Amino acid sequence: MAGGQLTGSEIRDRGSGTVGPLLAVEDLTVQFRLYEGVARVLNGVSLTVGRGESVALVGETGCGKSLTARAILGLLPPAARVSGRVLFEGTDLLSLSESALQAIRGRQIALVFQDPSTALNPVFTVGEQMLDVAAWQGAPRARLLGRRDGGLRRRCLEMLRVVRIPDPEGIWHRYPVELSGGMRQRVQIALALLGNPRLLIADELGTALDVSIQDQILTELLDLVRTRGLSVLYITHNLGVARAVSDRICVMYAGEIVETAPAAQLFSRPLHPYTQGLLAAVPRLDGRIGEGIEGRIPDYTAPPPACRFSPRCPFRMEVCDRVRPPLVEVEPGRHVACHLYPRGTS
Amino acid sequence: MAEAVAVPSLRAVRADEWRKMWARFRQSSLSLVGAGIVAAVVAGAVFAPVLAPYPRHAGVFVDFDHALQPPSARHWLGTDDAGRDILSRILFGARISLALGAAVLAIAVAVGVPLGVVAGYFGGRAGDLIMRVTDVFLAVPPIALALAVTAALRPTLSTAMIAIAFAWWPWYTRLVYGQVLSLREQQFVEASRAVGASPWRIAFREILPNTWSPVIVKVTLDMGFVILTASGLSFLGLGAQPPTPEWGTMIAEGRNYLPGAWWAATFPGLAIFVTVLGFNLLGDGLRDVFDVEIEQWRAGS
Repeated sequence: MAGGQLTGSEIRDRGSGTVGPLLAVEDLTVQFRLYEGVARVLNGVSLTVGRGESVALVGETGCGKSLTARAILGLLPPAARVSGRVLFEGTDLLSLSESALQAIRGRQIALVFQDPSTALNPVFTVGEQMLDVAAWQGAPRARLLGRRDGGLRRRCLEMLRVVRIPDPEGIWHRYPVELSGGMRQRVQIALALLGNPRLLIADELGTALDVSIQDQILTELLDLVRTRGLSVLYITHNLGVARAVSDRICVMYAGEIVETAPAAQLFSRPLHPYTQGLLAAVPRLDGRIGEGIEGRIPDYTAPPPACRFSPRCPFRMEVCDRVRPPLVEVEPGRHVACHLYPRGTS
Repeated sequence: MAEAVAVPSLRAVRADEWRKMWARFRQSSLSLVGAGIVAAVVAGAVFAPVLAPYPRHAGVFVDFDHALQPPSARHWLGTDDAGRDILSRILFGARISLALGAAVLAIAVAVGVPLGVVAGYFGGRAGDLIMRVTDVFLAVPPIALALAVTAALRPTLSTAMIAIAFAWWPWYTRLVYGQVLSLREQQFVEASRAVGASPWRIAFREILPNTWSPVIVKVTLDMGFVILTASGLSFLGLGAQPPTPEWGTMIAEGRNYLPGAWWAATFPGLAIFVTVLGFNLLGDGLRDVFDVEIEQWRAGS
């Protein structure tokens, strides 16, 4: 893998020559049948991630961010009923068989988990886990045992260096419990990158770590993303993180995308009342505690009939309880799902 | 930038771990007693030909002139009804008991553990079927089940072994099943799915190695019970046959001379008692060691 900075056109050319975004999620709906009724936890989510683009999916806990990530990779529990399309390079992942998905996971799309302490197998050393993943990334039906291959080992050590582990040989024979949280997170990123994926999904990356370590990891990842031309979908509840790492931000509320905008614009001029509320809720450096949004995420088995945010919305109108606002482009590159913004104006 | 931390050498860390495990094990003096007994029994079995004062007495041998002699300087534990030295026979009997216990548990683990992994990780109809069959087996006491099997086959040492293994595997299926049910919800399982691991790889390569410590503890604890069961079968004439120096067989032969020649039945009985006790104490000690480890993993630090 070349380490140099890739130009924009190289990034676009990487992989098949298909035009259009790398990942396009269209009208993704996920339902669970519960005792209380049917919970529609993702209600028509649409988002795209371009080639070489970093997109952040932002929302409060329980809004369906992580579920979206798992739905993309086909990692939902069997009880989930999924509809819509997840187009990766033009192929609908939802229509693929489990074994075809296994070839995509890790090699095309990799997922990095929130909690680095539980995402590594406790009974294997770092080296064993890396070799294992490297072996099966090389061949889908790699033998279960026997990974004594100097080339594989070199590749793994190189990858640990890529994620800036200072002494890869030193941690090679360590168990995950013997590493610091930051190191574990780095190992996990290295594992995700071993398959040379084109899209990395980072689920609350570093949230379980100290803020300073989280900052380091995110900065490093940002570097990696730029030098390798990776596309990234960051999933986070932290608006500051989203702004720092992404080109574009999708704001999610109660299983729906309510606003998407280029990162800077979202902060300078949030359009959706929910986004405005979120930004107002961020604590300020001058010591003011932000104002929270009244109320909480609705019950998914009995959500508000039309706009799911309406019960908490300060601008609630009569139409909000009747018609679900579609996600429309109100300005070039800015989409909002709110009746305050009629199509094409703002 | 990565954190610069002074890291102790790997060898020092591993040595320290062993010391910690040893310290936890040592906390209970009973564990040490158990380890000592097991070590003594194993040594007795391994070095039986050297240690036994009359190695020939372990096999086909009769010397009616010295039958049923009480414990003395020549025969520390006395002689049996055919004039054979009981100490020598007990030492050779340890070989049989340990080998049989190891064989039974090897079969039980080899059969029971994979079934537990499959039932726990894949679940579904196959999993239900496995667990219901397991339940049926668990509902019957192992000794009764083993009795039925040996009675149906020819009563030899190897049929006794098969019969006990037949009764024993469900315990391992049940144990591993429970472990796998909780392990499959761990994030590292989801993480390996996310990098493209197949279900079989996850079940046997990621989850299975996490179940070894309870299995090891159970094997140690079970060793005593399997030896007890095997001796029970032999005592009833359904296992090892005379003149095999199996402890249960020896008790069966010696009981005809109770209470007069008490040593003929008592010393083999004591051998069983001490061995079972030893493995139990050792197993308890190992559980103390491993339980702490498991808690540490679960806590994730």
